[in-house]
Amino acid sequence: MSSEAERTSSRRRFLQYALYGAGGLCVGSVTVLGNPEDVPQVPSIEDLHAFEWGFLVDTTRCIGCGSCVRACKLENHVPETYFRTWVERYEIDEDETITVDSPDGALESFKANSVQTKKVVKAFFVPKLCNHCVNSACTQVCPVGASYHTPDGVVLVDQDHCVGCGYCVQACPYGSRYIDHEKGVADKCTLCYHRIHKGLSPACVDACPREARLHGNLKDPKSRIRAVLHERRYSLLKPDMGTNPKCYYIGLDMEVK
Amino acid sequence: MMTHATHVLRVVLVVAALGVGGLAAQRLLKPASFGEVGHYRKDSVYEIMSHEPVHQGREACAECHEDIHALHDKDIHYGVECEDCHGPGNLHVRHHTEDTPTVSEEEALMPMEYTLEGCLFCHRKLAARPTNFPQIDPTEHYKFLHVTDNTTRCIECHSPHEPIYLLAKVNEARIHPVIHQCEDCHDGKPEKDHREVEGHPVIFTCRDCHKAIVEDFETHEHAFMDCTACHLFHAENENAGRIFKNGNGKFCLLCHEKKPFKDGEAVPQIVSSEHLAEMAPDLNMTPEEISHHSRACLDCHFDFIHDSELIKKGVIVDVQ
Amino acid sequence: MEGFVFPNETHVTWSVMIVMYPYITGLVAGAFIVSSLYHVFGFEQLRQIGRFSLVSAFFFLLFAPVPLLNHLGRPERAFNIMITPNFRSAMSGFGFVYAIYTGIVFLEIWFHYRADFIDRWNRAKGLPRKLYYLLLLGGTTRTPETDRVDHAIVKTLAGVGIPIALVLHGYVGFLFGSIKANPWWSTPLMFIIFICSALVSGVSVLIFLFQFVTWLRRIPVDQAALDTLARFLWGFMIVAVSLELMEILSVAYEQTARWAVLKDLINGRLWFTYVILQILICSLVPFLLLAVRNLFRLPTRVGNFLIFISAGLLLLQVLLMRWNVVIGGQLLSKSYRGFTSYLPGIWDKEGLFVAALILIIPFLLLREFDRLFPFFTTPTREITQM
Repeated sequence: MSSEAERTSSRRRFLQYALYGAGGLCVGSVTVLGNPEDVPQVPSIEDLHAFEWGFLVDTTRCIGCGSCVRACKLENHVPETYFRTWVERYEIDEDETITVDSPDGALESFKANSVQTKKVVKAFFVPKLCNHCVNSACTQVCPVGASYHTPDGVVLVDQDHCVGCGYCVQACPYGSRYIDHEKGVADKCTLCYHRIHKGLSPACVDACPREARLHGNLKDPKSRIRAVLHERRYSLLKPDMGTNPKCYYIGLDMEVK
Repeated sequence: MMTHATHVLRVVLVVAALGVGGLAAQRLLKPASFGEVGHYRKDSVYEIMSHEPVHQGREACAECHEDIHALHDKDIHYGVECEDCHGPGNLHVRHHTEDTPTVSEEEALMPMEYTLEGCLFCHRKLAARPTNFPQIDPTEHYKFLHVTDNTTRCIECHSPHEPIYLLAKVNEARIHPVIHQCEDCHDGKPEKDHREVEGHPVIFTCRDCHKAIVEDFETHEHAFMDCTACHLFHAENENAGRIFKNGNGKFCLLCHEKKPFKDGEAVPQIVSSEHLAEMAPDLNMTPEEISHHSRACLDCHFDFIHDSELIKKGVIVDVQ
Repeated sequence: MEGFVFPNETHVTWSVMIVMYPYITGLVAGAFIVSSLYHVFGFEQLRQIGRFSLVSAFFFLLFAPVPLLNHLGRPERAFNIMITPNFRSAMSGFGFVYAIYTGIVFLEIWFHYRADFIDRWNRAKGLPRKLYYLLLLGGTTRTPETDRVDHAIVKTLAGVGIPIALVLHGYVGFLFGSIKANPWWSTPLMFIIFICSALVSGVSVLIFLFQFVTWLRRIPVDQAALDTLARFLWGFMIVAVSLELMEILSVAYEQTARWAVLKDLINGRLWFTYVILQILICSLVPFLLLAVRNLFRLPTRVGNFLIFISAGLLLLQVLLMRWNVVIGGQLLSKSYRGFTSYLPGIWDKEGLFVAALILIIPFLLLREFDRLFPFFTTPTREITQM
């Protein structure tokens, strides 16, 4: 078994180098000879270092419609009762009592006001998702190296390596992670990693009819996300945790944890 | 000495063998590409990157459905993705573009008729929604419109691609300062006018700049309505937004078209096709020509709203 | 569900299996320390207990990974923890520490029982004889010199094993204590609290079994051993409970942001299992019983009965402590605004029946071992002092 595995892995490595080499040749030759836009570019690890993906949520624009939750579920085949993103609603009544809810993550929006017996003096929605923290607790605690940071700052789960211990779920201060019981592995928002490198936006960003969500490259000085961060006042969730999250919130009320 | 400890030596050898075996096993079982970039499988990055997107985006829809896309882009739902209401388009696009079919006709079918509940996902009146966002309480809305069947779906009156039948494209509408209704802050209409209250925040109401028109409007049949019901205002920031004029005949029909689920007594209603057929000979146009003329109703019925002469005279803004 | 919990928090990720695991490794650590008290620190009165506690530790140890494997989403990948360990994670130590420690305990037993194995090999025939030969790695000679070597090795292993046993159980405490996201778990003291309560559970289980078996078999109890164990139990429990209480009292005193949700947790979901059961019934009562027993002159039978009850209550206390920590921490929401609930099913894959099995089977194996190598009869093979 041992030499077979060795041969297989060295065969694998050879094929990888051959593929990348061939790919490089293709890209190179097409750049010289053909229309570069036609060639699907698979970014190399070095290319990925040019990106640092961040996310922005404008809570003042959110109407709690749940389009983002539905789009994410369909885009990423998120199992029922689990959420990669969800919307919370905060209602403050005339006695300054706060009621927070998120019925089924706002998958089917909200059916009525939470507070029915008193007047609501202030209320708002807060979309939540994985913060793709720079100093994430989840990657620190993964015992097998299945949860990791990509070179472009996205926190992903290698579902072919995860053992499903659930330590990362416990360690995340934001409740962003869960164990997918059918696959037996950890799962969470991937920032639609399969979309952002194809020039698309994450499904939730596209789906939002109010442009309350934005993603972008924090390393690009001309990116829209940088522009908004320089224009508006923003904050982070649980900054005291030291996780250094990259999901910025505009209009975040202090009642939101 | 050695004879006393030979059994120990054997144990040590077994333990050492296990240790070496363990190390060898670790080397062999370590997945390919693990550790190359960081403490993870580099291949995983590319595996995840290569998943197929499910939602296609509106440009993909526009390639075949250009007419609907153009209509949709012009009206107030321009910000709503096609796939928000119709569901993901991946199977549909695959079925209609691939050479060898892997997706059946049935799988490619995308739902078209949105339910009442579906519209209410966005448009149900909730305390947490910004007051300037169009939202209704279905019971109140039906009562206002004299709709008698409360299972009536929104799409029976409102076209989802053209919800308010705007005359001009959304982002070509005029910039207008933010206007407030009293009800935005007060429960019901207060006794005093805001200009008579000392220390009242500076706000603009329609009357402040359009006094003559507003006073005239209050003498006609539509006086019970808000200016903004037809002159839709869409705030873009705290200070300004766009105002949509809406002289589009189809907008008038939202209330005035006869429908089986509406109470015909309360609101004057027509069957538009019959009405156009009646008018056609007098106007020397075919009914189709009349219905394509966007201002349709207003050309004859403006005076039910406010004096059209005022506008012709150029009296639009008369600031106090 | 009460109040607001994050949508993903309606599910409790770590089940009763993760309550059983630290409980079992706690029994291991405690039993091993008692064994080492004899082998390393020379508590002669614990000689008879010494072997018993060592073998108990081993059987508990064998079953320690079972709840973990049962809980893992992908147990077939369990070895990833040793193939690609991420040493920044507290959990990554488990594979290596467990393997090394199991090796040490096994070897200590091997060297300790070598004389008995040789004895058996001599008397056995056929397959059992071959198995014993294999077990002995062919080393079937026994002389006073080999006995001395074996004794020295046992002592070394018992000594080396102490810190490793503490790490094997302590890392679990550290694992919980270092989860900053959970206000019920996050404390630097968790490592030491877990170790101290492990010692309590280990000594308790030994006392409990010891008294139970001697009563069942109507053999006279080794009173000196029992006295020593009772004193250690009292001492360990005072330290353990003091640390647990000081931890919560200090949070209650400082009243930082997390106190509001912890107060609601203690007064609400955990009122019965934590305040009533863990603290009042299973900590205060055994403390008083053991205090009475240790401080006052009582008839031996009465005293021993008090010890037995205390040991039983403390076994329960440590189990409750694990439950209140593991499950309690997951009942509260990281939104600090609500609580979820958890009731393990009886017949679920990670349910109460499986939990009970995992706890009971080591005792059954211990009983079988006792059949082959009796713990509590007068030793017949007193050739050398072991």
